[in-house]
Amino acid sequence: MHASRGGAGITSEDVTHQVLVVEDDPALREIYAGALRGYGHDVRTAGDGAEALERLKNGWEPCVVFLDLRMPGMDGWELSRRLQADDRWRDVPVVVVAAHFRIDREAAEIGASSWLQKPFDLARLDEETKALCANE
Amino acid sequence: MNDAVREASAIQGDEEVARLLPVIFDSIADGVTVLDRAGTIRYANAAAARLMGYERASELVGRSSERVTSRFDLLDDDGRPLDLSVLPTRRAYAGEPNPEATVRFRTEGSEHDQWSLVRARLLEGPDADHDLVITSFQDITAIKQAEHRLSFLLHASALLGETADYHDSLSRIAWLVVPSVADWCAFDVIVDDETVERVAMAQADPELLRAAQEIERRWPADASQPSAVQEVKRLRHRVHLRDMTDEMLAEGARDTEHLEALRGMRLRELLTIPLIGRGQVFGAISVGHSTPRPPLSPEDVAMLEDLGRRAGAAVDAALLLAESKETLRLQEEFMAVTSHDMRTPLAAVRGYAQLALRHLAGEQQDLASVERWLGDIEESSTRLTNLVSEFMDVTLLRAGEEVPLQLQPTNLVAMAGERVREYQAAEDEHQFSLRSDQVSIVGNWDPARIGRVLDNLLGNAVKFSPDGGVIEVVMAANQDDATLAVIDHGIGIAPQDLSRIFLPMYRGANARTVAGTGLGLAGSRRLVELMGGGITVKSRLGKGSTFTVVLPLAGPAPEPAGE
Repeated sequence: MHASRGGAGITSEDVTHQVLVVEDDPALREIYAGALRGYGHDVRTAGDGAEALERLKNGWEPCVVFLDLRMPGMDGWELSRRLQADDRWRDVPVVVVAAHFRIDREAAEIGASSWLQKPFDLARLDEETKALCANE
Repeated sequence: MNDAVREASAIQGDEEVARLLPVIFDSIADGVTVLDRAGTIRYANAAAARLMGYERASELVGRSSERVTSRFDLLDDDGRPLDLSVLPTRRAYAGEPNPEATVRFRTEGSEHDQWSLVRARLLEGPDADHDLVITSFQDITAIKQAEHRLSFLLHASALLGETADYHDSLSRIAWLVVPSVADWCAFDVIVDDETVERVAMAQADPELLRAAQEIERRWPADASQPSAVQEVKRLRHRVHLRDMTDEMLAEGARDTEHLEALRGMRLRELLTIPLIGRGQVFGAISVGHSTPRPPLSPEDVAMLEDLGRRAGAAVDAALLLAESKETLRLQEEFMAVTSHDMRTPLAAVRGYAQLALRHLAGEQQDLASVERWLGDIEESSTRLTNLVSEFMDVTLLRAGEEVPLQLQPTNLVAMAGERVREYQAAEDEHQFSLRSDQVSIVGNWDPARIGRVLDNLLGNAVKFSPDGGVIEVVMAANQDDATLAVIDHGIGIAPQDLSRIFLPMYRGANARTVAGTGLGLAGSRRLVELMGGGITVKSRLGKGSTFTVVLPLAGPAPEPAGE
């Protein structure tokens, strides 16, 4: 299974992964979801941690969570604690998506698999998804 | 015949000088005695009598030198009882040529040390029984005291240089002052206009130390109370109470119980000296005597003033260091938040642009989507531009510079309405209400800066009412001025913080955990002032705050002609 990359435009891929995007900024939420759908993934979005927990109900299982940390309501730190505390979600890889200048440290603190510092090339969303969901 | 006798014989030819010898000996500052082998004093000059505490030299002659010296405690340089075999007189009889020694002594019952440089010489007689020893005593007390003061100051400087934490070094210096200079010593540092911190205290008597600590606990230093520290800060000069009277104690006492406790300290003399660095008074060192001892000498006072300058410089440096560390920390926080805030709209610009490009490269070209994304790009660019402009304003205002205003007719009611709608759209926990006694209030202001002030006040209202609630914006205008009040029902501001919330980067004690950088109240006030107006605040802790902006409709007053 080989995935095409980069500037060739948004194309459907052979493999569809389930991806959760948690981001409080509505514009960025739309952008990330739009890009990931363009790569052919099954995307659900949430504006904060509480909404993310809602999306995780009913048996829908993402193979990666793109997570903003600073959000009003339940923030990314709290959500990652809840995921860690739950057997069903403990092993789901988390990619921190944030603008903080110490994002590497923040990602390490919550035990995230990876991080993307805003702004970044949208192709990175697909690359991370493929890399982290490969072992499914 | 030894040298001394040969020299003495040199004047034998001159009868006149020989006759005057006793007068000559009495006129010199050094004490001179002549002892025989039995230890009897055969001759003493006037200075020797004075040094040994006798009125006349004749009182000494014929006495046993041992009886005379037994009136003193003889000590070595470390203050231990002197081993008498080191006394030069004994060593001269034992055959040592020209022995000398520094002897520290104390008259019985006195705490006051004196020092003598003692030299001795054997004058050989026809037989051993007729040998004599001539001993001279040079009073070097002043030199020794100066040496001790110098070594005290060097030691104190070393302690001050050892650590940037003046609490520790001042505490050790207090125990250097006690007991060598005084019985009691305290360091007070003026933290700010309202706080004086006692950073160190020493008292030679452990019981009095406990009592002093108890006084400090029960009646802590308070900048609002008259005190010696306040007095030296005002005078920028020492205050020396040579004979403490009960009236003086009563003046400093807060109540009768305090007075009683102060009396218990038995202070007879009290000297308070400012800690001065770069011309500024940072606190005071106080010393006092609670036992009978000689009063502080002018030299002691000068030494303590020198110590005050050294300690003042150390406290100054420590405070500067802490301040610059805090400034750096705030700068870093400011940069972190600013870059964070800028990256979010930047991410939207880049994201929409990529979406649009990919969409145009794909099979279906939905131009309506592309047009919408381009609109979103413009909106995010505007947000980003505003952030950069605000960042510029903050930078200029923090540097104490003016911002370039762009004055134009600006409708306060419309702007406030727009902002309140935006805030309400983003906020569920707060209910915003907007009232104005007029449909529109138009003044000659800078709309971008008005917007920034509104953002700051509304943002604060939200931040400082964490449990939600109503936030009111009330506007009114008369012929000259517009008034806008932002009223929240949040955590409020403590009275002691009210005067300081407009200081750059100040945050009240109950607000330390609320993050933020931005323009701040200091920047808002400055912008409003540049537009000719002012901001005031009323607040009650736990009840909420009201910030009121008054702006002249005409805008800032024109600059006087000729400027």
